[in-house]
Amino acid sequence: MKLSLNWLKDYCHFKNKPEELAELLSLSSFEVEKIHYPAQGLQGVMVGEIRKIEKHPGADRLYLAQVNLGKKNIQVIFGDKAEVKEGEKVPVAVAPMFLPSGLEIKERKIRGKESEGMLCLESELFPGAPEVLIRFDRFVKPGVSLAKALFLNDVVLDLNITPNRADCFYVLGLAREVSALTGKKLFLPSFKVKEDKEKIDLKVEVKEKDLCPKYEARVIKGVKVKESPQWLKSRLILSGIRPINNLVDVTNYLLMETGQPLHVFDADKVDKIIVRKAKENEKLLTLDGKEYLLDSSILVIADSQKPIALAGIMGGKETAVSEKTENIILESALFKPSFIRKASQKLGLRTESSLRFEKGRDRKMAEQALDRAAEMIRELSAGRVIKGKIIVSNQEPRDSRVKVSLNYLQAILGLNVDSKKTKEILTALGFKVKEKEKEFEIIIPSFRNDVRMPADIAEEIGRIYGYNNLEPAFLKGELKPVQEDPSLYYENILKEILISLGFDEVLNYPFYNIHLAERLSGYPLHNHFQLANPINPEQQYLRTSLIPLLAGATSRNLRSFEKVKIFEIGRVFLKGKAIFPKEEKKLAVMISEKGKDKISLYREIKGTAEYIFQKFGLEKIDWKEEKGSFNGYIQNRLIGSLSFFPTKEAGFFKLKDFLVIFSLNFDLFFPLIKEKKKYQSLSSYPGVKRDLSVFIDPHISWFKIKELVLKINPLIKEVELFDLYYREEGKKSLSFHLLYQSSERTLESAEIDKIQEIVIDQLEKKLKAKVRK
Amino acid sequence: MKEKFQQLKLRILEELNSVSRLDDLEKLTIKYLGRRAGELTVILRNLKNLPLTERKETGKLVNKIKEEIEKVFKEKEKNLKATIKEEFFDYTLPGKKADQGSLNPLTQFLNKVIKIFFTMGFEVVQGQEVESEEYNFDLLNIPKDHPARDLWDTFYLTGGLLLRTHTSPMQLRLMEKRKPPVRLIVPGRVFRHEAIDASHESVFYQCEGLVIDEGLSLAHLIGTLKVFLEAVFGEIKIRARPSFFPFVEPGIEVDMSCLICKGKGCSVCKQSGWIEMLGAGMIHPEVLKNMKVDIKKYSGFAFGLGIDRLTMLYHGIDDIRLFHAGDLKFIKQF
Repeated sequence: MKLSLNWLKDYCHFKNKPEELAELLSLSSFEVEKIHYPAQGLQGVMVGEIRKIEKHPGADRLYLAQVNLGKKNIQVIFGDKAEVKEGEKVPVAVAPMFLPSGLEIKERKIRGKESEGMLCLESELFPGAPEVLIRFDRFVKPGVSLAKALFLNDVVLDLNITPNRADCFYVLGLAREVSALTGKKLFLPSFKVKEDKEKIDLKVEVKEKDLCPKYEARVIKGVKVKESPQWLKSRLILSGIRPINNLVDVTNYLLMETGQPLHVFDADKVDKIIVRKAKENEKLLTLDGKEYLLDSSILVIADSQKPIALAGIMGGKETAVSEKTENIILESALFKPSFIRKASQKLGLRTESSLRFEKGRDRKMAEQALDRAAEMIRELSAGRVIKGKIIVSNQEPRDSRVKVSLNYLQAILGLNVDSKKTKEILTALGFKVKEKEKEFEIIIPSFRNDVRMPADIAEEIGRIYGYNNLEPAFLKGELKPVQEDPSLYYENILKEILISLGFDEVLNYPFYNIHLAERLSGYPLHNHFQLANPINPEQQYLRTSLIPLLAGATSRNLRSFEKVKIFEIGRVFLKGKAIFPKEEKKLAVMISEKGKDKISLYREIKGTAEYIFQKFGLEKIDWKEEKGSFNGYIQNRLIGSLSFFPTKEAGFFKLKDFLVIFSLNFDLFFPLIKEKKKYQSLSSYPGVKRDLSVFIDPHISWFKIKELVLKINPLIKEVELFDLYYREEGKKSLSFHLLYQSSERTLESAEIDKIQEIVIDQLEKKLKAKVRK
Repeated sequence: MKEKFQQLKLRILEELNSVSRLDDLEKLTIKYLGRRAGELTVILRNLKNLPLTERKETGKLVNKIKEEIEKVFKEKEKNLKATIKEEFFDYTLPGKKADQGSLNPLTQFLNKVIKIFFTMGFEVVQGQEVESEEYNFDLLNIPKDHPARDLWDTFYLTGGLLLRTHTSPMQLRLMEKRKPPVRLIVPGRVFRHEAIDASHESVFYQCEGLVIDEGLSLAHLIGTLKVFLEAVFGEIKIRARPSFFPFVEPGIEVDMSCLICKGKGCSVCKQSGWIEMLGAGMIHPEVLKNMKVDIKKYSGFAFGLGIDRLTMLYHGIDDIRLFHAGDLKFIKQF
């Protein structure tokens, strides 16, 4: 909310500088987001009276004006855009100065004639304002500064009022707050309504007393609808409200000052007032020019025939004030906050009024605001306030009370505040305090409906005392080892391993579009959870797989990098039998490299997967080839799989190169981890390496060859592939090391030769391999 | 005659001994072995003037000496070159790139946060990302049809569930299985239905803190946050301001003195000298009741750290969208 400090000073004569006050408010009440100085940049702009206008002798479209600035006269040259007449009073920028736009005004000659300033359009003074000339009335003297004439010698604080403090969405509430903070007295507005002799004759019927606990109205006759005086307009403008006419402006003024939304009906268009729920399919055309279809969840103000306003939200167009209006009904009412909120949400219509009603109003302010508005309208529109007012009200509820002990306040704040200070703070904020042996009974004022319990009282004491005056305390407790969450613990180790292998961690959104959901997730669309209100269609479905978006990231990075190695660990959301999704943690690892062959990429990702399994002590994995991927099982549960991104879908991400994927079902994986590894005694006898190269049918898998060789003799400990290529005539060439080792003796060369011969023989016979010599 | 040649050989070797530079060696080579006027070359050339018998024997001898000398010279050259190699080592040669990846800076920072709280005896717990209105709002004292709900723009799923708007629902879920005293943190992803720009994301990370024990006060909350922020950012000042979160009372926001300008005012802190760091407060009695905690015996506090914002401040990152952009040019910097 925008708070004018001049307005605030009407009710609390604080002495602090604006910056100090802002700091005080920020630390004890509400954050001040910005301090505005509305007169800034207008120094040197004055009200000038145009004495005489002549055509510029040397230019067709220029004029010379003699301008009276009170103590002196100057000559100003202006163009025909400023449609100004002799005798008018307008803003004049007097040289030398700079306008807010940065334009320099200096004395200069234009075609031989001296110009000592510039006539300013509103847009030249206030960026964003219309291109019109402001004209001042007879009460404004030539030579006064523009800032003074427009009541802009003010400072405006932009406050971020928290939604619990409905009492501070208006000037009077903030004045009370400032009074408590500065110790300066609070002055409440004092006035008397000058009533006419004619007595009020208005029928008001409230059918929904729970929804409208109070309805008050006055009638004012013989009003003249016109522009408001400058001081009023300026206060509204500085508060962020556009002035309209004197009647509307008064209601807005009171809204800003008292927080009480008021409404004005044209009395000649309303025969009586009924507060009721709308009937099914009733319609109302409102002030904003829109027609709303209503039902019983919406409270309306109606006349004998039809709705004339959406209660607490917006008035109807038909009964609104127009230039011809002479007699008005002024409404000040209270409505049930939650009902107004629901209605406003249902209609999709949020207004200054509804926002205030839904936060709850001060029930004692309604009458005061009504009287104040009536008196102001009388003053500003020459109307007659008809004698008396209508008040339809439920019984006033008792003031609520909170009991709290000094001990509690001290304990919850960690502060040795005494009972004197406690009473002082609460009294300044408008609470009434009764004390009995360090137990307080506190009467909550009607404007503080947010205070309901001892903790709320603690907050009042704490913030006014100043949270920064508390001595920070430290936690104490028994020192016991803290259990680590194994899922998080192993996730972090896994991440560390992956980066040590050269993979970068990418984080993606947990939602994706319909195409990715359907074609790349591995789950049908109906197994996806759907967002009811996605920001855009790209984010419509909760992911069931990490692969689609990670593949997208791989592709994007291939524009800048030759090789991309990335991974993500995150949740996927699967439909199960429960209402909530099964949130499963998954890992996806990807490698792609420009122009790289399939085999090399595959071997690299497989090496990564094997290294991870081995690091975590998982040696026994059953790998099975299934539906174009290679799946690893432990105890018959699918733990991880190796695959290629499907070539037919590569178009999604404009992928030109092979992309290999290792995915891991982390939630199944981590409970199987064996951190404790069993020591194997080291052989003290050297191993002997022999190499072998064979040509073989390309359909014979490496696994088959390896299995065959290892079975030949237990002295063969390892078979390790080191070269592989395909020959044109349908053969592949494999080269591998064989490691011979015994744990009991040093092997003789002759012995190894013998086994090696058997190996060659078996390979030739069983697999029809041809050994390269 | 023989002796004369042996002496020559000795002289050459002596001279060679004193050579320590390649160009001196070259001069010496020309002097003795040069094709036109090298002493040994000349001797060999003049052999033809000797009598035939002498010629044969002398020729043999001189050739042998020449071969020896050439061999020694070659060796010397090799040695000298090797010395040069060592003397002129080029330390500006580029290093061979290490194949090491990076964690997303969010993960790195979150790990830092977790580690600090872990050393302070906080248990680290994970929570679900899809929540119900009941846990995300109702049980946290944010009733339906209350304006406080406007503080959270929410992604709803068809069917009524929602993506959690904060990590706070975990306060309740965790207390279903625990009894005070507790010290917990819950790091995790949260979601807001918000337009995205350089300082607003719809997907971001929070770390919820929850402490319930006997005799806890607001001063404990401020003390705990102070030591945490100091552990992350070093010597800083903090201040607390009143704020409103329906699940705490009193509620506060904590600012930290601006790291960039040290409190003097700059564009990062919008000239205020302070940077808003986190929201916190004493757990609201209604929420404690919802946790089935005896409010006569226990009190507690909770706080919510915005991890993205803290990470941005820590590294000087100026665009929040980079965290989820998947751009390795960004990630590899960390």
